[in-house]
Amino acid sequence: MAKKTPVKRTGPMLEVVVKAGYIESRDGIKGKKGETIQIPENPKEQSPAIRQALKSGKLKVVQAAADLPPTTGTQQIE
Amino acid sequence: MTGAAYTEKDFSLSNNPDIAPEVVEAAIKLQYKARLKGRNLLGYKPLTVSTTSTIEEDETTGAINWLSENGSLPKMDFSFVKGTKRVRPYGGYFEVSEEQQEDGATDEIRVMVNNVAYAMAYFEDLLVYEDIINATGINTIDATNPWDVVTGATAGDPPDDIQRAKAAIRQVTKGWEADTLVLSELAVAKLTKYDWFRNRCYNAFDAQGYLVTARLPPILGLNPLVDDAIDPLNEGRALVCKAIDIGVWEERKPIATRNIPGYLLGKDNVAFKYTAKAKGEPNIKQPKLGCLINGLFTEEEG
Repeated sequence: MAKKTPVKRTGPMLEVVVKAGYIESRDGIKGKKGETIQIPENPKEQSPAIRQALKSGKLKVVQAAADLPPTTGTQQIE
Repeated sequence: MTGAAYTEKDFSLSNNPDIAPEVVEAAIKLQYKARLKGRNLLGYKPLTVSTTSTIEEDETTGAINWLSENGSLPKMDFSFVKGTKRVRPYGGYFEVSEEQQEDGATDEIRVMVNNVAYAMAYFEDLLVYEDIINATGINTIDATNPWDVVTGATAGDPPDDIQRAKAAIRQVTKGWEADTLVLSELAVAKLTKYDWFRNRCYNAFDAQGYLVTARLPPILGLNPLVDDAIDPLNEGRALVCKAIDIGVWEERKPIATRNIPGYLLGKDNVAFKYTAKAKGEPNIKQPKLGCLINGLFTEEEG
């Protein structure tokens, strides 16, 4: 099996809220319930615990204002 | 009547008591009960309706402390998050052919009984772990290094990871102690590469004090439970938890079996159709009493 080289976090980070009681990744990311922590945005840089937590809702991405869908006056109401 | 006390049919293999419908049904239930693993990790609650409210305990606030001079007690609070869940029925069936019945094929029927009983138990195990793994409140850690690397600087350290999982539960719950470690078959295979684990496997003692070989020893005080349903896709996951308290199995209907003669189904060549049904759902109310250990196996570079 290929040996895993330590991942260096160089890319952009994602801000997430911890919903799990406690979370700890092998690359030193830790957080308790309710805390906001930063994780790598690139899935390849995320540890298995972080990936599983994101998938199952143990980590919830904090939406920045820029990410929210814009409300415009031309929006059609069906 | 021929005048004989017994007819030829009475002595024929089709009347073998081992394959009488009542006996086959009882065998399904017996085998099913003996195979339950994940379900036995949970408490039990019978239901009177087919929906249940999921109550997930939120954070514990407050703490035990010295009493103030006027004797007031510090308040501890346990908030809950409520939801609803439908309890769904599940089950399966198999058919015993007329030839199998007439020939008294006990071996073939036994295998079919086991197939349906094991599948029912495994289905319930999968449900239990699916709910535990995806419970939002459950603690989650990574193995410091994958367990499939035994030597070198990046060697795995399973006792350290298991101890950290125990500590996470203790910290979050302010003192609860985990008692069970659930491992997949592959995780156990990886553990056997460690000398300390292998030695213990060959030097374990049973309750009577006799030496038993190849029995999984308790690890750091945790009872080992090998259940592949914890990690069916071999993603590299183990669970440390406090059994019984982490959640309950809510049961609307326990396993029910039925035999239906083939001729009633319009199937002349079928002697009996045996069905097994049950209706229940796990409800993981205290996910903070569990901790998942992820990343047990080395990931291929993608």
